Amino acid sequence: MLNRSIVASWLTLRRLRRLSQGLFLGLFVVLLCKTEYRGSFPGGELEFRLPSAVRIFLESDPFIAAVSALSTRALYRGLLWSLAILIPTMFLGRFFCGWICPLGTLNHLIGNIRSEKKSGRQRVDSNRYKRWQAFKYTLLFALLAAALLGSALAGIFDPIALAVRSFALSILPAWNYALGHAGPLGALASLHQAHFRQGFLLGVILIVILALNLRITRFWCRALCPLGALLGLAARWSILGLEKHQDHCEDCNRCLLHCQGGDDPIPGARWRKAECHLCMNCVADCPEGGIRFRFFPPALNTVEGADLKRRKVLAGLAAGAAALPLLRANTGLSAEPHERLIRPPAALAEKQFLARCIRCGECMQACPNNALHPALSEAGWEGIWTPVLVSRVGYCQPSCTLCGQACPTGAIWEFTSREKGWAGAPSGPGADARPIRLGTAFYDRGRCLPWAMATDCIVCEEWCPTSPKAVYLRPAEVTDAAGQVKQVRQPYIDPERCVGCGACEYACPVRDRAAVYVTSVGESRSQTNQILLRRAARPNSWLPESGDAPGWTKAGETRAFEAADLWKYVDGDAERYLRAGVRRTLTASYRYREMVEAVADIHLMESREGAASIFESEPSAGSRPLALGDAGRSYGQSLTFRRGRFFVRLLAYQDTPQTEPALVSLGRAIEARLSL
Amino acid sequence: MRTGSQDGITRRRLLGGGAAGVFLARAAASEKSKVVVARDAALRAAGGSPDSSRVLKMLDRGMQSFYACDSPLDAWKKVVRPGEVIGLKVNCLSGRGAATSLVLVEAICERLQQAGIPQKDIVIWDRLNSDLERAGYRVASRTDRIRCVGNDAAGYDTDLAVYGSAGSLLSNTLVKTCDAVINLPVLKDHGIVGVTLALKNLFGAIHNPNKYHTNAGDPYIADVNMFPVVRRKMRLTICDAITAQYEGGPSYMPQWSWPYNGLIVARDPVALDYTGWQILEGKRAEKGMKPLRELRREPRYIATAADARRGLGTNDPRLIDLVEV
Repeated sequence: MLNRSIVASWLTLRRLRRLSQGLFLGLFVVLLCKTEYRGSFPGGELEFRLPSAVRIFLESDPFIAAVSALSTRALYRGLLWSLAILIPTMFLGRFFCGWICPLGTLNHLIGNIRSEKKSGRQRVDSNRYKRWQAFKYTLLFALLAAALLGSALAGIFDPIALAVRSFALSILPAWNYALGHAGPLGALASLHQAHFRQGFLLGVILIVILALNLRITRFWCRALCPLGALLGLAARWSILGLEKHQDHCEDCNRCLLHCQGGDDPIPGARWRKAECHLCMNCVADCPEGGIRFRFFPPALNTVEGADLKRRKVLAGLAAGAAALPLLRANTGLSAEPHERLIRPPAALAEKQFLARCIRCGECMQACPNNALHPALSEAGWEGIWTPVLVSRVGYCQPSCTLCGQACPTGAIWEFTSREKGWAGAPSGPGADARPIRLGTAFYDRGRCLPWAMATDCIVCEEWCPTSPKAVYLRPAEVTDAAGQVKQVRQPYIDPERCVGCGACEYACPVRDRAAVYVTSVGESRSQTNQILLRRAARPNSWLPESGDAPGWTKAGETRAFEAADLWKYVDGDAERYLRAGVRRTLTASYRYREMVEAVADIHLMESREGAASIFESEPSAGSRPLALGDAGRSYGQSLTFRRGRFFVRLLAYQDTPQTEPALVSLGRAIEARLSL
Repeated sequence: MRTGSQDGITRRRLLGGGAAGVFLARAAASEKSKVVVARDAALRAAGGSPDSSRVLKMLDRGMQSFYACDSPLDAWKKVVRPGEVIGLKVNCLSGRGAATSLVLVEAICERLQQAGIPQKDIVIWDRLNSDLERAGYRVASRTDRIRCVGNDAAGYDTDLAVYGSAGSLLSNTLVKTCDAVINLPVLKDHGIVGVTLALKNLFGAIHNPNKYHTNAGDPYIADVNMFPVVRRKMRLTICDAITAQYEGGPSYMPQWSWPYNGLIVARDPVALDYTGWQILEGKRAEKGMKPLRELRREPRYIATAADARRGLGTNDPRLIDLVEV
């Protein structure tokens, strides 16, 4: 009995609030740390999942939900969690700000530090309501107007997005770096030391926001926070309110000493419901017990709504409406897209992307290769702090899907490794689906070792993760600085295969400015930012089917080899086809009336000259000319011919009287198909 | 005080030992690498395909001659020991026409079993399952009978093997499965490196053969054969020369193939390669074709393999004991 009463007396609302704040701040940090993927990607079809709760703070943010709904005219499913905050707020007031918000908790902690500018009477005065606290409503309406016009700029000011962005991209990497260089404490540091562009700037912004608390308690929450403003508006209907007993008051002002919201809990003034964070400090600090919270309090001493006049609403809406044209009249989204604006895989088209991306940095934190960084001006000023791939720092891991899993708003849709299509040659249903492309790689031939310095280097080809490889090597005779003629293999990009992952740029041994670089052209998400009119057509039916040539049946599936993979079909022979400019090879087995077995190879070359060079390079001794294609030869048990860019070879395993005429008939069937 | 104790080195012992050393060194220098070429003019049946029983007899003649044994079983017992897992490294890259013959592999499997190697300890392997299938082999992974598996299915060892200019991952079949390997290349021309025989067949054991064709494969082919695992496990080479190809390789080109009807047996891969190269050059000359040197694809890697640093064998015809049976 005694214990229960001790617990009851200890368990005041203020202590409960502190417990709640500690719990949610700890949860926030733990979940943020868990967003960092620690492991390796062995490739293949394996999917790695982040714990599903990592984005729960963002998904339960009503301001993010409102902005997303306005900018996209739809509510992303995860954001329905925000109702769990919004609905109780309508009954209880801004409990989220005082009990849950991690940025609010940090502001609260710093605000409790005593400073010369905030002591005694100054502190009491600073905690009285100020008219500038209503600025957050103007900002809220400006950001909602921008959202209505299709921009999620609001993410810059949202407190959860701000906290995630600042911690993920600045504080945690700095903390890790400090631990890593702190002697024995280094064991506690993550092995993965991330480095982010603008990390310093983002860290400074957070520090300034926190430091302002030394002058004015929770300045951010009172004056700027748009989520606080939204919750303040929702709190209008709250049934929980402050009851003041004027007769108990001795004008000690202690109720103002630790007030977080600047909501005037002091008797004699009207309590501002929309500003109160429900921190309960006033209740705990009042020595006379003259202040308490209760449901359905008398409304006499309360200002129910926010300090919001029509002029402020209109000013906010006008500012938001004006901001977007100002931002978009610059280069960026509308004109001259930046060549390095390479978005994460499965990012939406730029306009839709900017309508959804709240710049929270979760995708950047989740990226295992530290490849995603906050943009500065690559996406125009409207796209500041949205994610871009910086290949020089890291490349997009072929089987990784973590950025899609981390994104709370669907700016990067939740894709699978199979949909990404980089981890291996697709097979089965959907095999014709094209991979997700981020851009295309290009060579700077003035810096590339084989091109500029007659030095062998195949690093980019080795790193290229696509199958077949987008980087292919072609032997070339070059003259080095000493005048010696030598053979090197020079790299080329096949734009039909390149997915823009940036592995080649990342690995390029020319360390400062890579000799191969990725730009956004060719990205899947854009219909206009393309370099090729037609991408990677699947090998079509150049090879005849059973019955197309009299007596011939096709005895197996067609096998296709791209230039870079031709060695897997004919290692050692592939080189001479590569020298002649082969692009693709198709092969299939055939059977003629159960007597002759044969193989047909069709090589598509880059040019007619390439096909002619292969044809002419083969000895003609023992052959007879054939009227097939542009030129043809029969060797009896085999024949070759060329037609345009095609070089065709048919060979039989049995030498019978029927072999040669049968091969010729099969050759004619192929020629007919190549002519289509 | 005696200086020449029982265990110490006396002047007499030193001189005696030195003389013996000189004698042994001279003997070693004069020891020849034996290469046996077994042929059978009547090897083929009426349809043109090799007769399996005659292939077996030709194999026996080659093995008995190489090991100087009265019976084929005695010869095979010098190659393998019961309890060992024996890998047969075939060459199937070019499909059926220019691959290691099934009849030859069947004959070797038969003799291996008679020499005490059970079916479960015989592994036929090459680069890819699809290569094996195109050459007419049936891929089989059951471990209670003869296995037939490509490196793509068996995988590659994770430790990088490095020698000279070569750095590669080696097939798990070679590194982990087999105790010893019998190399079964095909006698044929190669459009880049000149010829592809015993040394070049080891490209089918590495993950990156496409990287090693520059400079006519020199020194890469020799260096791949210098990998310690390759040197330790390579027991014997039997080159399939039943159908040989003198131009257009490594792909199968029937117009430049001819029925040589033979096998080449050797433990020295360099001597075997040199011998095979000369056979192909002879056929090219007979057909009026230029020698490989003039076409800038002389197989220089054979000399590299024989150099003092690598010492994989000899390419000096004076040191090759060529026996034809």
